[in-house]
Amino acid sequence: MMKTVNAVAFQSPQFSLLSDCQIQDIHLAALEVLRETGIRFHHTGAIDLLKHAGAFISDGNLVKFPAKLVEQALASAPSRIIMCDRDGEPSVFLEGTKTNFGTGSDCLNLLDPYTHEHRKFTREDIINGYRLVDALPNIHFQMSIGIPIDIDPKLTYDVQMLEMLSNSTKPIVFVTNDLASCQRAIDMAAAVAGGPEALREQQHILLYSEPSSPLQQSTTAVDKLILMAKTELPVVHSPGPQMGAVAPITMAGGLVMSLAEILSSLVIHQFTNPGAPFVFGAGIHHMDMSSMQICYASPEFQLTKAAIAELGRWYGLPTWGYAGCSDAKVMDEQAAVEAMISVMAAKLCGSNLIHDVGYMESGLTTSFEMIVLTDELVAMVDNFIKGIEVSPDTLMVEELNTVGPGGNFLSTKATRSHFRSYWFPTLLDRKIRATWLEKGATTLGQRLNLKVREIIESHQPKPLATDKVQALQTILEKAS
Amino acid sequence: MEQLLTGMQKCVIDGEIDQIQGYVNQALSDGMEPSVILNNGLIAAMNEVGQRFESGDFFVPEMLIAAQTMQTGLAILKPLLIKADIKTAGTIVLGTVKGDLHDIGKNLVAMMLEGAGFEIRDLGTDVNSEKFIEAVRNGDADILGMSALLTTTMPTMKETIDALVEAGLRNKVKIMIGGAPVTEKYAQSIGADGYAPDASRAVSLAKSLLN
Ligand code: B12
Repeated sequence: MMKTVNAVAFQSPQFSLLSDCQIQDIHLAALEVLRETGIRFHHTGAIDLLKHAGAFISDGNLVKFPAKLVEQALASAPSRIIMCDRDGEPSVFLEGTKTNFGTGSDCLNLLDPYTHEHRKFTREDIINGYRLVDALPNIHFQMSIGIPIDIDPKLTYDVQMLEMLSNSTKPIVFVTNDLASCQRAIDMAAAVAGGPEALREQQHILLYSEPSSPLQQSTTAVDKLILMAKTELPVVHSPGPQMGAVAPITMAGGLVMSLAEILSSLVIHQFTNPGAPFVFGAGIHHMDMSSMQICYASPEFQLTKAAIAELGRWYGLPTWGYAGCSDAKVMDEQAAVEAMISVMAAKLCGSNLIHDVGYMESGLTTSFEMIVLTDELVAMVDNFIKGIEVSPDTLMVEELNTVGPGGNFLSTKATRSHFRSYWFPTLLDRKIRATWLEKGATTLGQRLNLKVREIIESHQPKPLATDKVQALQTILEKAS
Repeated sequence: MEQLLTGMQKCVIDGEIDQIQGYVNQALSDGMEPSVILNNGLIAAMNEVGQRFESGDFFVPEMLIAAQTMQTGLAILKPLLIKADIKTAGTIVLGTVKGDLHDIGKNLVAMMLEGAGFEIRDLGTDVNSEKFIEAVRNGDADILGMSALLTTTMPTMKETIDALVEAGLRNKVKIMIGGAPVTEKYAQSIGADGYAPDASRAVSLAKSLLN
């Protein structure tokens, strides 16, 4: 038996971006911006609440925050959120470094898996998207994916919610355009969960809303934030600024501004209802100064998302992240490369609620093939993150002594009991050329497309009980 | 004279905002016509900037600083140009429609148009049709530009155009629209005069609408 000493054991790959002191510098800089310049709130209710809590109001709606308010809010926000699936089973754990992947919301266009056309979404397309999410093991939650054009635009968010609840059991991160549609989304989810109380226990849905960078909060966004706090359903109130356009050009500056915005949101949220669940997040992109487009797959975007994950953990809050996105226009080699760096970075930095899987062209287009590829990449990187186990059982000294020089390990017991811990890809190809040729000599792109079609054509999601379908329909009809 | 104009152009291209007024004042005291300073100095420089941007030598921030430099020089010329009854390229009222807070694209369009010599009245974001109409009624706008990034807010564009027709003001202005969900087809269907997919094309569009 080997002797062990009190050494620090590493098993998985190590990644850390910011030192504790740097995190503190960013935190203090954000507090200084909150004190000196403050945030403009286009919301009278919020201003009254903040004034009462001890913030300073000037120029009508400019709110300046003393550090104590921020610290109070940080102290009351919970450290974990457990989202259940539609059947009430816990499935998405937002805490620590646990990673969960999901699609993005509201794209205008789809890359048609049959015609390969770039075209607008229909209701049937979003249903196919939700069923795809339902079928893929490494896609853990759903977002609306697209905006269908064959429905009444005023009911966009109602139809999305109805179809997500009907076509997949996975937890939902949703978007709405105003307070009323947010309330209807909650009502729909409550009808499915078995009432508001059951929904609150199951936390099946989570709202994604946003401040208006730089340093502003809109009426509708704050309306929704307050509603979520009151109902005790989780919310991520995430800035989505572009460095060089609506945020300072440096990454540290982008972080400071975003942090000031997040913390101001957290104060409103926690002072409305202390202990209500809040996810810490920001998507800090930069604008490509040659194309004027917002970068979703740059190396810098991976860095800011890692910084947000580290900051969130420093505060002890669940975190929001991004992966499986590309700036490419079609599902090509660029898209695959960008998907990989984003999944790798997400797994290394350990954000909890990692969304926008399938986004192409800065959030204007979705590719179903990209969602399927990301499902595969998550599995691949999971096996990278697992690292190398170093233990008496894996050092295999005895095995080496037994087999000895010139032997082989192909048929030993140890090989038989361990070989399955290696990852087997489902879509990446490792066949010999002859077999590959026999099987049709397909490219990865073709196999991704095939899998998308197979799922669309054959996957049957667990049906929603008819009385619940009816309840959703009634809410939708009342809205129109 | 030539040398002074070359210096002035270089000043705009390099975005030396603190020095441009020196060049313009020098040119005026040398007796150069304001319209010559404008066309052969400032606008000529911006044309060069535009070309460098198109060819990938220049990036957005360089272009915008150059545009600001040109505007700073133009500020001195403006009263003189008005006196001489020389018109600027045109006046454009711009805004992001009601319910919509996306303004990065609209601001870029505004800055590029300014760089091309247009006068901009920016109404900001979340602008309803009444405010657009008021701006058209009470101003000297040649073009009304509307931006929308949300499918849910696009209908305000149509509402505004319909209301302009009703108020008998439709012929007073040209209308151009833009933003990610907007298309050429949509522009035609609601009776706008033009659509552009990005800021440089918005400038060409504005020029062509007024020709
Ligand atoms: C940045 C951004 C934001 C920022 C806006 C910051 C700001 N101050 O503008 C923030 C984070 C605040 C935001 C908020 C929201 N957003 Co947003 N956002 C974007 C994003 C990523 C980029 C937009 C952008 O700035 N592009 C860069 C600029 C340069 O391009 P552009 O705007 O298209 O402008 C160019 C051209 O279109 C043209 N142009 C523009 N205007 C005009 C006008 C004229 C007259 C002409 C001729 C040309 C022209 O020239 C410009 C320059 O080249 C887009 C996705 C995308 N790629 O478009 C989503 C996107 C537009 N947002 C979206 C959504 C859903 C939202 C939210 C509802 C999200 C939420 N969870 O709350 C809120 C809504 C807030 C509101 N009420 O408006 C959806 C829209 C879906 C829909 N319904 O149609 C998109 C498509 C993303 C997505 N897939 O979800 N967003």
